[in-house]
Amino acid sequence: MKLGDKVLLATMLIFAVAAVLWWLRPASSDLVAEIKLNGRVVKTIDLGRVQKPSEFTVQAGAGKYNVVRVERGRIRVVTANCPNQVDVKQGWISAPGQTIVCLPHRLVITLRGRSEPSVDDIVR
Amino acid sequence: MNQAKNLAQIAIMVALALVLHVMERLLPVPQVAPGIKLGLANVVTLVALFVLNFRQLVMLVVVRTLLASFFGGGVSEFLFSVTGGLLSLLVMYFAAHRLARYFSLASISVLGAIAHNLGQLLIAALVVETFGIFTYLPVLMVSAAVTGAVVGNTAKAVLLHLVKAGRVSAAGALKILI
Repeated sequence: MKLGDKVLLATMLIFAVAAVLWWLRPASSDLVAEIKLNGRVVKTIDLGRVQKPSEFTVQAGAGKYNVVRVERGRIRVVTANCPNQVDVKQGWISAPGQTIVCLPHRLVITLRGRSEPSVDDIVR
Repeated sequence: MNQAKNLAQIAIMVALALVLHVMERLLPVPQVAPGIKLGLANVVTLVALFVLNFRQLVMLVVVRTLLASFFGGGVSEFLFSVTGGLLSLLVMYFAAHRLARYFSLASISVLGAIAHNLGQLLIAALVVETFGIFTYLPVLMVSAAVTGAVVGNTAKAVLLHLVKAGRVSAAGALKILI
């Protein structure tokens, strides 16, 4: 191998690593969770950019709370003190258009995506 | 007489390159990603580097890409491949005649493949009016390294045979083969 061959090979290896990183890069802002209380957006989370799982509590008025868990690409309500627990039982949502609703607390979590949802519509 | 011989030589090389080009389309090569192909026709260009002068090489590339676009593709494919082909030729010519001390034929082929991709991306960027396309470059570079090495080593084998058969002057080709 001549000198230039080695230089070229090294450059190509660097590009190969760059290419692999490019393929594996986190899907950016393709999925955004919108959390609404009483119809007002209180928090938006880019699920594509979530690095490590986290939990936070949404205060929905006097003594009402919902604990929301966020991981990359999905979101759910872990616990809540609402009477029917519909939001907790629903579990994870991860596709654009999916929605978690906690009617007693007037909490809505909607997923929006830049890409079209894979289904025409979701009826609940 | 000499002029006729030159013309015939270029014509034969164009024909060879076209045959390789058409044959390559028949090969069931997996489409890993768009824009990636083996580029067997470049074997001819690589060998021609040591047979033809620069003007003749340009003629070879332009006629080859023009005729190749007749076999499939069209005006846009011609624009893509003629830009890539000429840029690739420039780089390979320079490397083969000025930097032969540093590069083996496989590396020259890889450099040519990279230049080919750059030329095509440049046209693509002008067509879609966005330079964001260049984020695709690393992928193309890696594929160019692989296909370029395969094509370069094939060309090396061909060139060795031609030198042995006395068809190519050993003096010009030898510096790249050792």
